[in-house]
Amino acid sequence: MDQRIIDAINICTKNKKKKDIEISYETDLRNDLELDSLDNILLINEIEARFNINIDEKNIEDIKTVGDIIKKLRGLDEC
Amino acid sequence: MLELDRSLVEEIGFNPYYYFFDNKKYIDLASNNYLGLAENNRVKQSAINAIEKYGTSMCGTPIATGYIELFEETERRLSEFIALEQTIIFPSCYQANNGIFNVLANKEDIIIFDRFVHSSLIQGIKAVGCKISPFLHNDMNHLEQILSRSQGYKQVFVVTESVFSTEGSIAPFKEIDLLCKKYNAVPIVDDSHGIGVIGKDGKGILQYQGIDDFNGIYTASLGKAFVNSGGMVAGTNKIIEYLRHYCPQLIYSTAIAPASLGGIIGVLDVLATDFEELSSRMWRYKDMIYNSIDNIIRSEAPINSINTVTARDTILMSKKLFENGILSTPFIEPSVPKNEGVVRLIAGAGLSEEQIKCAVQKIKSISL
Repeated sequence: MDQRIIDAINICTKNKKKKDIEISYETDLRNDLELDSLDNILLINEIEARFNINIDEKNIEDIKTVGDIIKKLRGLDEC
Repeated sequence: MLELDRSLVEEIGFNPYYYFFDNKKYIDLASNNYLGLAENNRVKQSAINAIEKYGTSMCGTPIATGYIELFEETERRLSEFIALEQTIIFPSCYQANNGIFNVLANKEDIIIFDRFVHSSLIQGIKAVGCKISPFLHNDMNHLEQILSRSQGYKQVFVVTESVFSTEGSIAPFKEIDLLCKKYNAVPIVDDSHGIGVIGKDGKGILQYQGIDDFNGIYTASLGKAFVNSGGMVAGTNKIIEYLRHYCPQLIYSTAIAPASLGGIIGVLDVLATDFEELSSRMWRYKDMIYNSIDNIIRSEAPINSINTVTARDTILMSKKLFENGILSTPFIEPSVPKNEGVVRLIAGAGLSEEQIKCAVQKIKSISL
């Protein structure tokens, strides 16, 4: 997996109690990483900064897993 | 009620929301009555005087019949208290925080905010429809990273609270203010749990952190240590005059009641003479609890939050406290992150030392 995605996730989970979670395509943002809607915005912003892209926030409402994010990025021809 | 709350309420058999209590039977460690001024005779008399002079309500918005001499005097006194140029008073701080962003920000702007700011700020920020960017709680490195990549926006706002009330952490607001100056951003601070509480004269975060050239926007609830209702917004004459005429949450709401305005004046008078004594008692109570109870999160504010770890244990702890005659405030998701929970205890200066000792003994006897 692209290290930039892992780095962005690590920012979002920095203050979470769950540590050392192995990130995979199936990792669930809410259930595995304990991210809520604000964390999801934080995650998308961190990904935008690392990939130098803009993601419309309306397009992230259906994102549930790390794999969903990667699919979105592929849709932007960036990943 | 959220589904999580409902299921816990049913399982544990205790509903910590919308409950009645007799304050003669319970030790109140739940309210935000930090200095105990809600029962202060001078504050009550000042509110009564206002009712006798103006009645219970001006029955109009501030731009109509709601703006009275007492309203203007209260604004002026609050401005002098926190040493900012001008103040406006909304019917509540929730309305103030909800309203100011839509007036000041546009879609071409970015609003950066601490990940843990209050719901009222988040709702107001989201309503603008501009780029929004949470930063990690009190993490200045992360804030600066975001600021450094936000220079293409027309205006940049940085929003935080002074005292984060679930655990009592205090923002490094002087550093935030300096970063805002460095990156030409507008700082906005909600000092709801700071005004009347921190600073050597109780003047809040600006005094507490020695910020004497603040050029941003300051909001605060007047229903916590200030024991009335309403929410103030203060700042430069230019910004506050603009909000005074264009913020719908202010100009289309019935003005704050005369009793609250009188009560706020009463609080300012009491703080001028009694703050040191009241504050000293409040901090002593905080230490008595902190030094006696396990699992309290260390904090800089006069707040003791017991780390109850799970949502279930949070509600259960609050239930057991209630059964022992102690009122507390449980926080579960979304007020705290998922799978976390704290029970907050605020020991106001209006309580007696005997009540605090009694509360400590009872809390120590509780096991989950």
